[in-house]
Amino acid sequence: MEFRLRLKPWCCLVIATIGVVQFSMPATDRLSDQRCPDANPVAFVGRTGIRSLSKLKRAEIRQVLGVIGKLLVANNPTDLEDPGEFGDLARQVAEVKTRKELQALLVPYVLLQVKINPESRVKISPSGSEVMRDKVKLEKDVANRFLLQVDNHAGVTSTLNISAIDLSLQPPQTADWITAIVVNEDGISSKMSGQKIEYLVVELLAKESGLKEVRLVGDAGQGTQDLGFRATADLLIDVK
Amino acid sequence: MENINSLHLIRCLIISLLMSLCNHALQSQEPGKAEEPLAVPVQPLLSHVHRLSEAMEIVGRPLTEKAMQQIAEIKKVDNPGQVLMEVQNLFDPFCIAIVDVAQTGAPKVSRGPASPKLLEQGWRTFLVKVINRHGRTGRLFVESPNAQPLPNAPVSEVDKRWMQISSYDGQPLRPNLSGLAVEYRIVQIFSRDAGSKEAVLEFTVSGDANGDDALIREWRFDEDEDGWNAMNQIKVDAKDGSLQIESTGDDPFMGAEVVSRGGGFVLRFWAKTDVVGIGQLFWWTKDIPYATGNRQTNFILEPNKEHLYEVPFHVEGELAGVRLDPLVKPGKMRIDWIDLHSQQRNENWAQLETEFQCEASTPVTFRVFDEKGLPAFAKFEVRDSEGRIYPAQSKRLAPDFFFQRHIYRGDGEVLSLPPGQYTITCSRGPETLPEVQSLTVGAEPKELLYRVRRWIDPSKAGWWSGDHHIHGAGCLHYNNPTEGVSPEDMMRHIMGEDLKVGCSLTWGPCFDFQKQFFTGDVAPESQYPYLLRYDIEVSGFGSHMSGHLNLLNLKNQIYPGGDSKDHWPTLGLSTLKWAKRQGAVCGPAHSSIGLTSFIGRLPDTEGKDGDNLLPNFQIPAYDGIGANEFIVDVTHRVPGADGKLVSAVDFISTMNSDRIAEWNMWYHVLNAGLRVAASGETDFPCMSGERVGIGRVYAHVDGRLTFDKWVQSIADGRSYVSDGFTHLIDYRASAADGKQVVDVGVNGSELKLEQPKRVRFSAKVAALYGRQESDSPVHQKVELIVNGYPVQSVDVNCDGSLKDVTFEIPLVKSCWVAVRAFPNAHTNPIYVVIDEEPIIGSVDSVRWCLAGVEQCWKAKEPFYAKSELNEARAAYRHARLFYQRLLDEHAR
Repeated sequence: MEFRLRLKPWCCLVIATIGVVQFSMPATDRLSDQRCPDANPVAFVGRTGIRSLSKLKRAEIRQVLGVIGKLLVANNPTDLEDPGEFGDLARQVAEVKTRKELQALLVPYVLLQVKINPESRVKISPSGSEVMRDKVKLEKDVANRFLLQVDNHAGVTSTLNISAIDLSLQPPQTADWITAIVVNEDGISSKMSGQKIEYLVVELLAKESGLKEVRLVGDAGQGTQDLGFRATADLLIDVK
Repeated sequence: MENINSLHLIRCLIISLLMSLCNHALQSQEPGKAEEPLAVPVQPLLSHVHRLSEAMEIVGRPLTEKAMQQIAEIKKVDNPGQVLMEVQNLFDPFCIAIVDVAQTGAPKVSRGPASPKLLEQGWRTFLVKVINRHGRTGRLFVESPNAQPLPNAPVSEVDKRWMQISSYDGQPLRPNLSGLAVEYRIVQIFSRDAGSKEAVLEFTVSGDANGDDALIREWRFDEDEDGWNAMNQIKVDAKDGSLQIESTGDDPFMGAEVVSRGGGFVLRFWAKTDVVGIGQLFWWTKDIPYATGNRQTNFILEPNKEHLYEVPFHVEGELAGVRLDPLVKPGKMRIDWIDLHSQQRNENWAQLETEFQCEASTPVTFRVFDEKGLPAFAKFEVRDSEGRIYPAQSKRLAPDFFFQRHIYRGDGEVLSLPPGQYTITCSRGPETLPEVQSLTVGAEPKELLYRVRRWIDPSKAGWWSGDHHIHGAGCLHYNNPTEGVSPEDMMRHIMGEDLKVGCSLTWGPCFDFQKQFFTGDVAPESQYPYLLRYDIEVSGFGSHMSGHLNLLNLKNQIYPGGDSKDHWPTLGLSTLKWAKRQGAVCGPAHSSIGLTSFIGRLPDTEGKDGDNLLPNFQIPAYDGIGANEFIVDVTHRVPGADGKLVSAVDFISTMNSDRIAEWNMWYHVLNAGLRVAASGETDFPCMSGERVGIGRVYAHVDGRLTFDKWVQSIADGRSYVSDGFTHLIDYRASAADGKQVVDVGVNGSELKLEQPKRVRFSAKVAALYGRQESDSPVHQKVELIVNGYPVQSVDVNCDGSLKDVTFEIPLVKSCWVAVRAFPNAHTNPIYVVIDEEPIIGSVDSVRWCLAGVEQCWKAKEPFYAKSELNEARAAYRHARLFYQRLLDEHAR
């Protein structure tokens, strides 16, 4: 099942579509050489769209919209063909009324669910979404970004780390054909906020093509402390 | 699993040859269509191999060091073909079957090279090799008709259902096939028996785009509850892609509509709970669109781990919906997904007939002695080093109950166990100190010695434990292959819990079979001092809708006018009149049911609720089967065995349902001047299947224990109710001048005073929880209760020692006084009558009772037969007048 987020020319065309007139978030490094100079989905959906929500929800949705922006600008930023997908997503996110609706909207974009229990133990598991179930499709040498849904019962604010292990090596060790990093750049942090639910962004970059398997391991600054493979998720990756 | 031995190279050659032949055979099944050689990318194959080795360690069958070294060597090989060959050489010998997955339809299945050896009462681990040329990513199901559960099995099937099979799909494996052309799955097989056994293994791949049509419905919870609705005592919420379930009571259930033609089905779900016990599955059909007691099956909860539950059931008629009772107690469960499959095998299933050789396991003889050194029965929970329970629960028939994790064994009895390390938890009811033993079982017969150690023995002081409500054909028992279980089975459980008296009540299910065990006396299977008596619970027939009734010490068990249960009156009071006329001791069952939802609060009672909401003044809805019509019946006096008027109700059942609701009802009627005792029950295995005697009563008997004396003490209130871990012995009252002493339950429990006085109340108190329960209290608060409210209290250390507790208070008006250890124990009251004034503990309580009569009539009127309506109206009118008269008298 293919899963790849392509950057649509959302930052230009969606502006026209929904009539937003101003961006306010400064460009990221990654965006600096792009044609569309700004990437603030909060701006492009308009502030009135989220005005009716509670303070907590507004903050939550702004965080999600910021995260979505990071997905968009990263995934194939040169594709100017189709403006629709992320504009629609951002607009829908801005209109949600409940956290449950928000989570449901984002399910297809979540690579991993990260749960941090009250003792700060990290559990990660592949997303329940159908598009992630069989294999994740990547393009060689293209950074692909996905969401991490973080369910933080410990309220910790440490950095979330994701590392990639190649089990086919003897002994298993850090994969040399793929890197996995939790994105930490302007507007998005790899540090958790302590909110019970938040979204972070993970970036996968494959350097070799072919069907491969990777073990992603999560930790929240205390090592994996893994028991029963709770902090690992084994994914099949199809790299074109 | 066999170890790799030194003849590995020879074996590899032989296996390579076999594999070649096997591949040739597989290819030759489609003449003219030569299969391409298998090709598997090396990196994911080696990753799979690594995960497989991790998983085999998790299931308790780690690869040998040599095999692990071989894996390390394979990882260094460059040639993909050679890697695949060596992987197959390493793992194929462990394969019980080779499954060649077709693009659509049934896979081709052949026997693998693994030796089909099993172990009696033990598990063996095998691999299944999956050849997957078409990259299918559905789930491989491995099942067997020989692995169907025994509970509710037809007699003819008992012998055939000798095995259990379980696929391991948990971390670090994935539930679904990877799509690689070769991979291995883990299956584990258990044998109930020794000897040569035949089995049919069945295989299919389901759940992907090419999957079979046996999938009736899949429920996923990424977006919402996907059609599952909370129905009773349950909260259901879709969260994080899972269904989060919280049970708030003892009868939680949720349901979903699903339509399919009838036949065999299996409901599979992946879930995790920390609750020990069982769950239940009900279903309904188009023609009978609601769940019924005869259309249900049970499954055993696997606590504290993620588990694939597979619940087979058979539907007569067109399936219209399923109801899941995930737990039978408060607790939580997370369900990741639910699938409903048809069990009717279609063309997408392949079968493989296999003959297994099951080695006999080792006999372990239990040597069990009570504290006096006499042979005894006791309770044993047997687990192996993997935490697995023995005997396997799904293969149990009486005397071992499949819904329990433990078994009961007497001195000299034998349990067969496969060689291995075991942890055995031994106990004999709450009055004993449990102990954990380690047992190493080898090839030679073994003995396990358990000497019971007590921390208390109330029977030495004449307080005899009992449970007035257990069943030999209860909710969790089965109708097949036998209609419930026998008196011998019930005796084993009673003795194993050191419960001196067990009242096995025949009720709706299996009534006409179980009624044969009624003798009008203690059952002949009784073994002094352990007494078993069969009597009746009006449940599932007659007046059950107005509240179930326990009828103890009956002389005749069938209501006049028939020989079964379908002609009984719908008015509970009519049944009570019949029972009391023959000298029975009667009271409502599982009292809180119908008393835990409310229609409002009694006016002008704000601020009057007591500690722990006892008493409280919420008016119940009377919408259940507990102490509902009780609020009416308790006001009636009816002819007893000698024709003299006696109370229609002797006791209210407690200790097995919502404690506040059951005690609240009791307090209010006591406050209305009614003298009714509390007794303790479990309603095993309906309210709980954990064990008999969870709720119990300790009744004082002078001299030798007999059932007649014991049950009379229940009626007299010469008793205390308890969970068995807290004891309130020898409760008595004495005027401070020491001239009058009244023991609870003796001479009407009445202390008569001519004028207000200081009165001393005392009891011997002991509690011990630390060694039995993980969340056990360190102290137990013991309170003196006057008219429902605590007036003095003392904290008692839960160290098991018996302590004298004394309270002294001035009493100025008539009242009832009891000792309470919330929520674990309660004495019956002593009635202090001053200057011959009646006891009215609280006018508000009388108002509460009167409001209850009104609400109960609203709730119950539809359930009374038309022919009995006039009688019912009269019964309620009597109750109204009774309570109203009290109010009027008080006003005067």
